[in-house]
Order: sequence, then C-alpha cells, then structure tokens
Amino acid sequence: MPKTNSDQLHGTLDMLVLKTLQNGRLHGYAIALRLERLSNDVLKVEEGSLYPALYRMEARGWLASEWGVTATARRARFYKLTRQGRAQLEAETASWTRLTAAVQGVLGS
Amino acid sequence: MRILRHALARCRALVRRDAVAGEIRDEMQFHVQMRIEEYERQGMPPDDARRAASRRFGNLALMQDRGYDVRGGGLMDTVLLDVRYGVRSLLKHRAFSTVAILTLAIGIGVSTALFSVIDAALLRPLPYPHPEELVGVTVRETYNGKSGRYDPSMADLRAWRGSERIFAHIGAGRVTGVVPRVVETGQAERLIVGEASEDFLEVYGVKPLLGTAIQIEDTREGAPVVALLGYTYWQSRFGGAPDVVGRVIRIAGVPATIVGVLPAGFYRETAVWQSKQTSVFGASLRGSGTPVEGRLRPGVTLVQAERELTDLTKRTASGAGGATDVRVEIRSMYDLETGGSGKTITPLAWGVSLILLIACVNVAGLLLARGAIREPELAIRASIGAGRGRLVRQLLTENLLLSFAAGVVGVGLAWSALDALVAIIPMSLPANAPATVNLTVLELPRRVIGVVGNVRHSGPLWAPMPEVYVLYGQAAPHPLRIVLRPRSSAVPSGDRLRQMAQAVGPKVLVGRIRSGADDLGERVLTPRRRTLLLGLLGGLGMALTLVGIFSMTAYAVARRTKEIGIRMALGAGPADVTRTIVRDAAWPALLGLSVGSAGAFYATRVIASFLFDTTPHDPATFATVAALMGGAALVAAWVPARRAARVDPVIALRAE
Repeated sequence: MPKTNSDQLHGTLDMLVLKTLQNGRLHGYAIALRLERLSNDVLKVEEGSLYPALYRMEARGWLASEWGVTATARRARFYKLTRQGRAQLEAETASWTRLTAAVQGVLGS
Repeated sequence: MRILRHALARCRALVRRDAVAGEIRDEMQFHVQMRIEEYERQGMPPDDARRAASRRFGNLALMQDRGYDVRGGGLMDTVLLDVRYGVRSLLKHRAFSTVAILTLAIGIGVSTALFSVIDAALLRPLPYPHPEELVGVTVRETYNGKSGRYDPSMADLRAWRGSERIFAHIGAGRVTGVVPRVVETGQAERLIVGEASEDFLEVYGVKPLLGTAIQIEDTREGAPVVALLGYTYWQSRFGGAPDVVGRVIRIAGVPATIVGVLPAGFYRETAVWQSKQTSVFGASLRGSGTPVEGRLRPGVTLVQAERELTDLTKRTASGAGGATDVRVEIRSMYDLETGGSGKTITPLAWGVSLILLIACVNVAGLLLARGAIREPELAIRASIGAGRGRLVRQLLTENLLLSFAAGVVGVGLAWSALDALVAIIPMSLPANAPATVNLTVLELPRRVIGVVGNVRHSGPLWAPMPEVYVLYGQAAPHPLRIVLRPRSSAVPSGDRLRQMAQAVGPKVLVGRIRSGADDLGERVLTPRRRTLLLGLLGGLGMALTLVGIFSMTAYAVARRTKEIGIRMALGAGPADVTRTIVRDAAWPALLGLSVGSAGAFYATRVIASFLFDTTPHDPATFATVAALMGGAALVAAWVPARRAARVDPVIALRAE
C-alpha cells in the first residue's frame, strides 16, 4: 500500500515526540507543551491525538511508560525513550536532515 | 521480546478491559485538567477555561476510543463482535453450516481415530528403552549360486559380541508359540515356553525382578537347565511367592531350576523362559530356528554394522564350511515387528489422508461458492467503511468458528469410533515369528515316495513354499497338531475327542479343538478386517465426494437463479431452462469422472497386492461408482434448476 499523507504526518509527529523525550521522561501534557514551544505553535493538532500516537509508539517498543507523581504531587503517566526509540530518533533525524538538505539544494539552486 | 511485551499488553487489555480504559481516561483527564489550570492562570473564567481546554484537546471520547484501539482492547472488542456476527451468520445459513461442519467433522474424526490407532500400533510398538537400537540379525549364505537366509549360529553371535564394537548386547531367543510345552509344577499344563541364550534379556534392557538372568554356563549342553518365570505366571501359579528361586519344575519332562522371575510386561504370554542349550557342534550350525537379536551400541548404523559384521564373519569363517559367500543382514526391530501390520496401516493411512483431503476440498468449495454469493454483502460492508483487513478478519473468524465446531464434533466422533477401530484393526504384532529353515529336517528324508500338490500351510495369504513331508516318527517328538475328517457329517464333540485322547495315555493333553472353518477363518481374519476397514473408508470417501459434488453443483445452480429469471422473462420454457442448467452442470461432472476413473485405474494397481481372486479393474465397480457420482451431479443440478424454473420470473429476479 502506498504511504498516505496521514502516514507521513504520523511519522513527523513521531519524530517530534521522540525528540521531546530526548533529555528524560515527561508526561503527556508536558510533551504537548514542549511540542508547542519547539514548533512555535506551527503544528496545531488536536492535543488528544497525541495519546494514540504515544500508545502506538509504546506498542512498537520505542517508548516505555509508568505512572508517577508530578512536581505538583499529581498522579500522571510518564514516558521515556527506550534504546530502540533512541535509535529510531537518530535514524529519523538523519533521514530528515538528508531530505531537507536535498530540498534546500533544489530550492537554493 | 517486543512481540512478547505487546502480546502481554494485549492480554492485559483483554482481561482488564475496564482497567485499561480507566487508565486512558485518567491520563487524558489529567491532561485536560492541567490545560484548564493553565488557562485559569492566564485569567480565563473557569467555564471558559474548561471549554477552551476541551476544544484544544479534541473529542475526548473519540480519543479514548482510539487510544483503546491502539492499546489492544479494541482488537478484542472487534473479535468478539466478529464472533457474534459469525455465529449469527452460520446459524442463519443452517444448511451450509451443517454440511460444512459435518463434512469437516467426518474428515477430522476419521483421521484422528485412525492416526491414534496407527500411532499406537506403529509408532510406539516396542516398549523397551531406546527401541531404535534393537535389531534382528540373520546371515545370508550363497552356495553354488543359491542363497538362503539363516539365523546366525551361537558361534557367530559370540564372535560378534566378543568384538565389542557393534553390539552392546546380543542374544538368541524364541518363543514356542504354536507348540506349547508341558510344564509340571505338581500338575501338568501346556504353557508357552521361551528359550533364551545368555545376554538375551539384556538386549531388551530387562532385569530379573528376582534372582538372576541366564548365564553363559547355563547354555552348554548337559548343564543343569535353568528357568525364569514370567511375571503373570509367577503370580497365578506361585502366588507371587518370593522364595520361588531354587525350586525345580519340569519342562517337557526335563527338570529345570528356577533362577529368577521377570518383571511384568515382558512377553506377557510367555509363562516360562528356559536356557537354550547347544552342543559344541550345534553351536556352529546356522539356521537353528532361534532368532538372534541385538542392541547396537549408540551411534552405530545398520549399514556400518552389516559391513563390519560381514567382514568379521568372513575373516573368522565360522559356521558350516563350503559356503561360498557370507553376508550378515541386519534389520531394525521396528521394521521386523511392524512389517506385517505395515501392510495394513499404509493403505489405511493413505485412505485416511484422502478422506481428510476430500473433506477439505468439499468445504473449500462450499466456502468459495458462498463467498461468491456473499459478494454484495461484502461490498456493502466495504462501502460503509470496513477496511480490507477488517473484512478478512471477519471472514477468518467465521471460518475459524466453522473449523472449531467441526473439530469439536470430529473429536467426539473419533472418541466414539476409537474403540470400534481398535477392535477391528489387526493389532497383534508378530512376536519373533520363527521364519527359518530347519536344517535337521532337510537331512532326514532318505527316500522320496511320492509328489503331492502344494498346501498353503501358513494360510491363504502366503504363497506355498517348497515343502517336504516326512514320516512323523522321523522328526523330533513335538506336540502334534492333528487334523481329522469324520466319517459321517456329524462332527464328534470336543469332550468325546478328549476322552479318546485320554484313552491313549494319561499324559496326553489336548489343547484347543476347533472346526476347520474357525481355524481357516482366523487366518483370514486380518485380511478380512483390512478389507472391512478399507471398505468403510472407501464408502466414507464416496459419501463425502457425493456430498461435495451435490453441494457444489447445487450452489453453482442456485447462483444462477437470477439468470434463470431473465431467461424465463425472455420467453424460455421451464423445460428448456432446466435442460440448459443440467447440461452445463454435466460437463464438469463428466470431466471429473473421466479424470477420476483414469486415476482409479492406476491407483488400483497399487492396491492389487491386497486383493485376491478379484481383478483389480472390476468393470462393474467402476461403472457403479461413475454412475453414482454422475447421478449425484445431475440430481444436484436438476432439483434447484427445476425449482428456479417453476418460480415466477419476477420473484426469481428479485432473489437475494
């Protein structure tokens, strides 16, 4: 089956989520906040769709999750990168860099 | 590892559906709550903050559902849905489901039952440790261009044992099955007595329960005869007395000292084992009638053993002189023991596999036909949003349900059929059948006094062997098998015969008295049962094939209901339509019949070895089967075609 647009969007969202988790564990809301800040509100998706994406990545083995307590002493589910997730992030970053460089090259010529 | 974790998560989702759904809800509510607080901190009134946060998050219920789908709970939900839908659909198309389930169930039932029997009879026939190491050994001597196979001599056996490279144990032993001996333990009775050399029990890994096994000293001519009691006989005659060792019994008139008792299960029928004694001269004679059995050392192959033993035997040149060529032949005990029943089992196994195949093809055909009919239903489901995978899952679920139902019914069938099968399949495996040439007999006939016709002594299945009849007095005094033909047609009673025997002498024991019909009947019991079983299988196969042809044709014609309506609406008469439909159905049937007949013609050549006094290509059988199959196809086409042709074209067109 050919890759649809939504698949590519999924891929990008996945990469960004993995990126937010690069420096440690976060709960879903914190991931959403960081995505907002990192992308300067450019990516305005429904925040709720973050969760199916998180569950999917967890099922693929990229993320691990556990219940924990926030700084304000609330119960929240925290996500962190697995080794596999880290490898995935590197692979996606590399291929993204190649792609953007190529596009830059075409546009700049 | 990942798959495992995933599966675990799914299982947890299945078991704790509410728990998973609850986790998801909690997590998402936490998110929304945090967002509300954020907005409130920015100065929004609480109600506005709540609305804005929930708008920002999206449809909470939908997100929960999607999350639940991903976490695995969703799959289980749709599986349950599919199962429910499948059951409803199978119940709705009851005729289809019944035929499909019964067909599969018969296939599964018959094959399960028969394979259980085969497993018991063939695959686990030797209740000894490492049965694959057990072998039977014979020596083939070629003399003046004629070759014969003989049991090895005791000298051969001991030379082979001495080399220590091939055999862990090797011994000679036989059971006097057909001619029980008189054993006296206070009273005389006729019992099955075994004869064994040293190391014979060790071949089977059998250790005496009490006392010792037979030693090499016990096998010299003139040594005191020693005896080992079989477990059953020890229990029944001696009440399991532990002090039985040392007692003396008489076997065929010769005193024998009991030296041990064997464990239960080893040659259950054999009451007593005695030491087999050979003279110095006799030790070098091959063809003594006592089979030699050995246990190969681990890792030694049959080919290797044959080669090394042949070399060894040629070098030592033991045995009677003059043999120009000697070759040692080794067969695994597995082969030897199952060789006879293999003839029964192999065609059975093929038959059973074919039955299963027919059943599967039938059901596959039915499903294909049904799938074609269901095209509109599937199209509708696809059009309202079911993905390809979802549809496949649905159909798979239905078929799994079908197979599961068939499996349950089939195993039930197998369960009830197993006892009957065990009763009719010839299971008694030949135990050490003494198929040997007795040299002593050949030396005896001093003069030929006449030539007689062949008699199939071993039963009608075996080809007559070249035989020499000698006067009774010249042969060893064995127990006799007496055949008598009464003067009148009135057969004397068994009691009368026993009285007559007693009149000859007090120690004359009469064993079994049977009519000739019974005696011969027993010999053809095995082939008769085999024929019965193959007949059953054949009948079953034919029934299944008939069902298959019938249902396939009927389905194919039923699919044309709309076409029939159109033809009728355009003016075709009911008779025309019926004829067309039947003719169309006849072609594939005819094709199948010709291919099938050709296949059967060749297959019967294989089966010919099991038949006697029938030509395998029995024209009447071929014609009957062809007529039945063809008839079934025609009836299957005719009935629905006529029904469709009788219906008002408008209704026929509206069908579906």
